[in-house]
Order: sequence, then structure tokens, then C-alpha cells
Amino acid sequence: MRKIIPFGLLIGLSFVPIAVLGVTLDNPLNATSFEAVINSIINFVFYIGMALVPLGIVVSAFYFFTAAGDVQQVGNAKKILFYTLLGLAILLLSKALGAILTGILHI
Amino acid sequence: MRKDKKIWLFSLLLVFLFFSHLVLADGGPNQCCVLDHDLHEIDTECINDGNPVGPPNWDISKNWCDPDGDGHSEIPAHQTTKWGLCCLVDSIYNVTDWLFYVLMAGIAILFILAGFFFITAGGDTTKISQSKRFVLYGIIGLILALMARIIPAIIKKFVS
Repeated sequence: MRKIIPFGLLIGLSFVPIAVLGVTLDNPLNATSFEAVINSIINFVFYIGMALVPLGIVVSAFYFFTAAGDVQQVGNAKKILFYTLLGLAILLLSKALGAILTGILHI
Repeated sequence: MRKDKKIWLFSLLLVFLFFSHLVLADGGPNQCCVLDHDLHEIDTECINDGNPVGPPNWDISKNWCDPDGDGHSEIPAHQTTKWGLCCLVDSIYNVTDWLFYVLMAGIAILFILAGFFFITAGGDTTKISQSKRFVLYGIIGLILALMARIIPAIIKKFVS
């Protein structure tokens, strides 16, 4: 707790020249609204996840065929497959959830 | 155990020092990449036509792009802010492709082995059941591998 106070003061003081000298900062982001920032983060994670889903499935297939009947290994492979597909479902849901919420709340 | 870790860390450092000049010599790492997959759903500029994809507002004195490794920087033909994401996703797809090819070769070998076991079993039930399991998990692996190929295409159709 004590460490936070000087840290906060330091951050607060760093804004003083902006107020006093009238320094302007360029927006480093392409987005201009908070929604756009969140959306671009969601898109970023979504595309990486979409690339990782086939990788996970191929890895589980690898486990399946190297197991060749070993029950524990097959269980491992099933787990990998299950959680990969669960991740896929959640990813797709995250993409749809925004649209569903705006539809329900009429924003 | 701790001594082992120290030796590993030290050798990693040595390897990094040994290869660092490759990264730092020619104006730093590449700020572009040539895509192997069509990723136009991420950005319309991310196309696999053999031309590099790089960041916009290209500054030839600051940025470096040498995908063919001939020591001369070139200006990327496709410029977009999402070039990093495109390059990252493309390399993940590359890893998947390689695993897919290895898997296909492995499954072919597995089927041949299963056939061999069937022939040499000669009525021995345990051997026959073992070779049956080989075939079963070979088929499951095959279906999953094909699924991994189909799923991205289906999702692209749904989402975009």
C-alpha cells in the first residue's frame, strides 16, 4: 500500500507539464473511442485464437495416433481435443456476444 | 540441479551472443514478411501473392525489410497497420501445416504397420486386437487432421 502512494504521485506529477506548458499528445492508437479499442483487442485475440484452434486439433490427432491403444495417452488426447473445441466455442461466442447484447438492450 | 541451470543459462547466453550479429548487422530484424496463406479476412492487404507485407508510412532510413536475405532492404508492396498480426497468424498456420504433413506421413506408416500386424498375427487374438486399435486410432487421427483443415474455412464463412 505504501509503495502505491509515491508511484501514484509520480504519475500525477508527470501530467503537470501537460497542464502548465500546454503540451499536446498525439493519439498513438488508430481508434478514437473506447469501444473501438476494445473491439480491436477482441479482433486481435480472435484471429490468434482462430490460428491456434487447428494447431490444437492437429496436436490432439498426433497424441491419438501415437497412443496406439494406451488408455492414458488416449485420455490425454481426448482432453486436448475437448478443451480446444471448448476454446473455439468461447471464441465464437465472444464474437457474437457483443451483437447479442446490443440487440437485447437496444443500444 | 542449480549448477545445471547455470550451465544452461550460460550456454543460452553464448548462443545469443554468437547469433546476435546476424540480427543487428543489417539494420535489425525484418519489419515485414511474405505470407504463405491468404489472410484477407484480417486485412485486405494481407494477401499471399509473394510480395512482402509491412507497416504503413515506410521510412527507408529507419525500417528494414529483406525477406529474400540478399542484404538489400526493399519497400513492402502491401502496407497495413495489421502486418504484425498477419505475420504472426501466418507463422502459426505454417506450424500447423508442417504438423499436418508429418501426421499424414505417420498415419500412412501406421496403416502399413497395422496391415503387417494383421498378416503376421496368424489367428492370435491379442495381436489382432492390437492391430485393430492401430487402425482405429489411425482413422481418428486422420479425421481430426482433416477437421483441423476444414474448421478455419467454415468459421471464415460464418464470421465474414
